[in-house]
Amino acid sequence: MDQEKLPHAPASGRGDEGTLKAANEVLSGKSDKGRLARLLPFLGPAFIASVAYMDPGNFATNIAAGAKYGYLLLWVVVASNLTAMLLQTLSAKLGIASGANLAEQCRTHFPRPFVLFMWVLMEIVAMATDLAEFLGAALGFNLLFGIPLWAAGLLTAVATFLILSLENYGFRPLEAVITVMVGVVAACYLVETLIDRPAWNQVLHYALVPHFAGPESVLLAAGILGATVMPHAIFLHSSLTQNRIVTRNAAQQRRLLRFETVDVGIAMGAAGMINMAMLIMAAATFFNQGLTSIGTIEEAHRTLEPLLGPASSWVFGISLLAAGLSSASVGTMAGQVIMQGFLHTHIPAWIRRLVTMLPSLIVIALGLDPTRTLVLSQVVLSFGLPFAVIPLVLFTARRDIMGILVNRRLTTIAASLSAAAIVTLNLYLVYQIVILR
Amino acid sequence: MFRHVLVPLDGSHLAEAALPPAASVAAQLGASVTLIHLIEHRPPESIHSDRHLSDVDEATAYLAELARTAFPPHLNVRAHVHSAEVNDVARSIVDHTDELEPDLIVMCTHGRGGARHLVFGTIAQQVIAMGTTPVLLIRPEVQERTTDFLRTRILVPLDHHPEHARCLPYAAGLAKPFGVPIHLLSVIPTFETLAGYEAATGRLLPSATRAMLDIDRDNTQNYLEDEARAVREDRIEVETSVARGDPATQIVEVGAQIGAGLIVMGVHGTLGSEAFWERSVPPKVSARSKIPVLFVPIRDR
Repeated sequence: MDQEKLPHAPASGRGDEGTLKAANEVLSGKSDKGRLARLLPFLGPAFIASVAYMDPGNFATNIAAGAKYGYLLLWVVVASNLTAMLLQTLSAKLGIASGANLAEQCRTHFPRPFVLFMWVLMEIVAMATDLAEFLGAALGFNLLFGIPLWAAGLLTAVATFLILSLENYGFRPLEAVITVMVGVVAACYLVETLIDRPAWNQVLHYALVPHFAGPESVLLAAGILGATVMPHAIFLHSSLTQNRIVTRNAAQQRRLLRFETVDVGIAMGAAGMINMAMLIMAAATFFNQGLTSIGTIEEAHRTLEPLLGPASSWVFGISLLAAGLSSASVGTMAGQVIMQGFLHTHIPAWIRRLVTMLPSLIVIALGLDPTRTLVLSQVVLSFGLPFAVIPLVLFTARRDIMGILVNRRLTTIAASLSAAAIVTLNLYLVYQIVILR
Repeated sequence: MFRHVLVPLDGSHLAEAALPPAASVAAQLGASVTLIHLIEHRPPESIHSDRHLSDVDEATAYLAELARTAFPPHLNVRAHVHSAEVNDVARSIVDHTDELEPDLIVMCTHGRGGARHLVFGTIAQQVIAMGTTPVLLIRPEVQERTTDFLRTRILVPLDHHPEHARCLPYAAGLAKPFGVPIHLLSVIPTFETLAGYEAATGRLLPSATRAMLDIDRDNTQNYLEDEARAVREDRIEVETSVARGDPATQIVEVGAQIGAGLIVMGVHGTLGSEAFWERSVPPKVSARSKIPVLFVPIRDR
């Protein structure tokens, strides 16, 4: 019996094909529509994807950097985004070409003790990711309802489990609502930068020319890097085709890679612009008025006042809460991929979530400064980066693993330079912390 | 294929809904049947409004009566009452499979409710999860009390995991003697129905994920045709189709649309809360399907 005889092909499937056909025409250069019409198939997905890169870690590092140093660290946002585009494309390419994710490749090619070390490190990274999401969402509750942070933490735990369980039932509308909330704030930042008319010549200068201003600025740079080029996202990208596509031929691989490159490019481009807008608004709101010491995430709603006025505090609170909750599933599933890949074992998602929540609850119980903790959690992510990036560069440069999708020499050089820059930044931070303090 | 059928009974009318299909399979395949009742430690006063059998003599008489009335006279039907009190009914049924060596268990979905079933699944789900014997699950509230079992096609959901195809010989083992066709179905999620880590990845790479699902659909059609060819060699009629959407929902809907009399699917054995968190498809199918489902344990034994 063929498909036509069965009335069970849902309309959504046909809708997907319509989008896919339009996208295919663009990618193959056959479309004769206008420029905007040709981009439409990508805009919806790009919006969803760019919101996936907006987590409380970004909020905290961008606000703190803008408040303390003005435009100075804009170049870090630009460099981080370009690096993320490159590395996430390589990661997805590894999954498409080899049929195995990055963690599995590490398990195959590295000695067991090192694999175990990597797994432990990546679990710490998963906890740091969780910390940012959890703390951000708890702060959102705290700002919205004025409840103490410990109660907000417990509320966040319940909300997170609720979302995870709803997703297990394939219930996506809630996630869509959350995504729209984050998207509204992202759009607000973009509009504000246009209204606020920042000194564009300065913006351009600091976006392109690297500057530092002491150890704290290096720490913040590492935080921005960790918030943008997230190790867990690199591992997750490589699991795109896991258990899904069995037979792979060259045409299918190339087709997938085209879509994936467009996805990453558009999403990271949009996320990069939003991150820059956040930093610019923090610079305008706090730094330009000499309020460099109060650039906390609790105060960050002031960056939305020019557009939203008195509503800024609750809109920011909602977006912080939404960003924290919407990142929860991505972080949890990345953790599952990492554990499955390194150890060939898995634990139920709810147990994973429970364990990775603990550091967040401890931080809240100890009463540590949320903004500082959020920034430091992103710094921990940047320390995890070399252990994701270096294997990624090594594997994607090998023809025996990648086949026709093996890196071009220029790609390998660019990725190696990124890896070297990340390692140098980390080593400098260690030097600052260990030697100079 | 099936030479010895085990039917666990607790004395309730609902559990007796397993008898007509068991009689039909045994008669068609010439299999022997064992009816079993386990005396429980601290049993409930009643099950589904029926008095619970807690007396050995009463249970023995009950099983003997069913053996005489529910099966054709030429079949070899035995009764077995386990008189030592058991705490864990599901575990005890599985233990008896080592002793009695059935190759098929026929039982009703038998949720008595309560927190235990939320965590561990129904007794039937526990038997599937712990054991290595295929289990034919009957929905007592919708099952026609007739021995005219399996008049229409058998639906076999397959995915790209090769081990799931291990249930195919069981489907063929029933299709041939009953003279019914097999319908092989694969369900490819749409972007909207992806769950778990695939959904998370989909949020990061939306259009690539959509493209991947479409490629998967094309590949799956070829895979099903390969599997169908192998079954057709045994002179069994085979149909194939690929559906899009949530796997459990589509399996149940397609089963109803094609008028399937039985669903046969491989199962890894997750149940209860773990099945929920792992988004396991079989428990959802068993909960929603009005059609009997044959679950074949496919984990490595």
